Amino acid sequence: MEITRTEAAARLRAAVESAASGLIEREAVAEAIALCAVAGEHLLLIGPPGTAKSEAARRMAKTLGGSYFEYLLGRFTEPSELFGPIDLRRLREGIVETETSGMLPEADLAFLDEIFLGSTAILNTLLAILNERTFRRGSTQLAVPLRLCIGASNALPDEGALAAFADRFLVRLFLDPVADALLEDLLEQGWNRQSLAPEPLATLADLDSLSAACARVELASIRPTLAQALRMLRQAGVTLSDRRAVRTQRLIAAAATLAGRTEATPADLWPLIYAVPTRDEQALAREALRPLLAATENAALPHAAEEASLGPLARAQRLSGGIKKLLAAPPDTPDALAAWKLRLEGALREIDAGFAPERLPTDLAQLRQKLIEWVRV
Amino acid sequence: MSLALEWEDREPPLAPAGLVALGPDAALLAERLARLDVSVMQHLQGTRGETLLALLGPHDWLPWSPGVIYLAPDPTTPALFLPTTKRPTLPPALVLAALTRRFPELRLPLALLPDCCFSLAEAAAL
Repeated sequence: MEITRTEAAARLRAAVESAASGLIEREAVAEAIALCAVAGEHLLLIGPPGTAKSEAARRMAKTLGGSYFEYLLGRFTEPSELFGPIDLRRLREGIVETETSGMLPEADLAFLDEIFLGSTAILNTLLAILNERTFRRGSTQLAVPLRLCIGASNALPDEGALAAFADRFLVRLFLDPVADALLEDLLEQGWNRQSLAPEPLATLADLDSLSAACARVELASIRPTLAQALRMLRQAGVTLSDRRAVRTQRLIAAAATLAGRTEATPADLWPLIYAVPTRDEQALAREALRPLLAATENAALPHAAEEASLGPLARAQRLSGGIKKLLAAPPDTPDALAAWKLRLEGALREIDAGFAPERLPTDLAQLRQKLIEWVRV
Repeated sequence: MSLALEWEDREPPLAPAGLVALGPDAALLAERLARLDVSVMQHLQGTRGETLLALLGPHDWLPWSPGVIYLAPDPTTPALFLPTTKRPTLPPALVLAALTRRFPELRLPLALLPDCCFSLAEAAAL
């Protein structure tokens, strides 16, 4: 039975929401994983230890189904720890083959922590897996099913060879520890996480369906705008390799697909920011592209779109989505109601601090009114 | 007091680090403060003028009340608090210099809105 794009997108959205619901301030990570999985690109998470990088990947893997491989690399990690041991029976016959069962070459989704600590042998083999979706070692040559590899590191590498390897990760997200005021939520979520383990809500078939739709997205009309954006970035001193510039189109197509569009529009330009390699350059890019980014939004990936663009449309969409969810479930016990009302006030604060009254979008203005009615009760 | 300054939208808005309620909204804010939990109050500082009530504090701890205007220090001129969604078209440092000349009695930091200017220097624990 053919899966419609709309159904697949709805299930992927449910998977993202479920994965992110057990984490604090990691919605954009879960959404970026979905974006990359549809685009067929890889994701690099940069941030200090303990910022839920692996947990976000693990939860997304659970909600997406498929086989998942996770490993923490070190300087002394052997290739066999990732790719599988040498098949000794075949070795007796003089053939070097790898037993890949349950290892990275058979994974649909992989998370490699401290990825830049891998040896040259590991990184070279990984390069073929990431670029060509092919595993080559000795006489073993396999097409791998990998949809997405998520690499994680505390910092970007300086060394040239490693930087070239890092360039294969098109999307880069820079993470910070959770904000002070959310520490209570962090502690509560962390304590309850076991009972909040997500269930599979989407399937690999959904991903494949969306990836196929992504490949069919019409990009011709957006290319002049993208080219103009790339020129603006160069003028601002932001370096984006030709390879990254070309592959960004996949991200834009994936954003359009998940937003329900068959033709990319200026609203889908926001993933360009994630393709900019460093945190400082991403900030510069946001500034340089501000007029273009103001028109970007994505209802299916509201947090990722807003974090990338910092634009008013994306901000309004993210706020609207959060408020609708909040208002959908008013609690019935007095204590829970009081805590819920504080959250409503927090949403009102975000609206009033984020939009001058005359710039408030109509639907957000209506939601604001509903919030006020609840707060006054 | 009225200041002949032109204002423009600020995008993206600044993260709020304070707020002010003017006129009748100040009374509503005072009512809200009276109902705030002590654990929240300890993160806030406040100052009161004849017709205004202003608070300073980390943005996640700031309360909401009808009509409040959220404020933040300008990133290039931290002694000048501005509305989170607006900025003067003139450079903030120039604006601050003009304000300190015109209102020498006001101690820094100052807060500037399209229709008033006040000092936040007296903000103290609530």
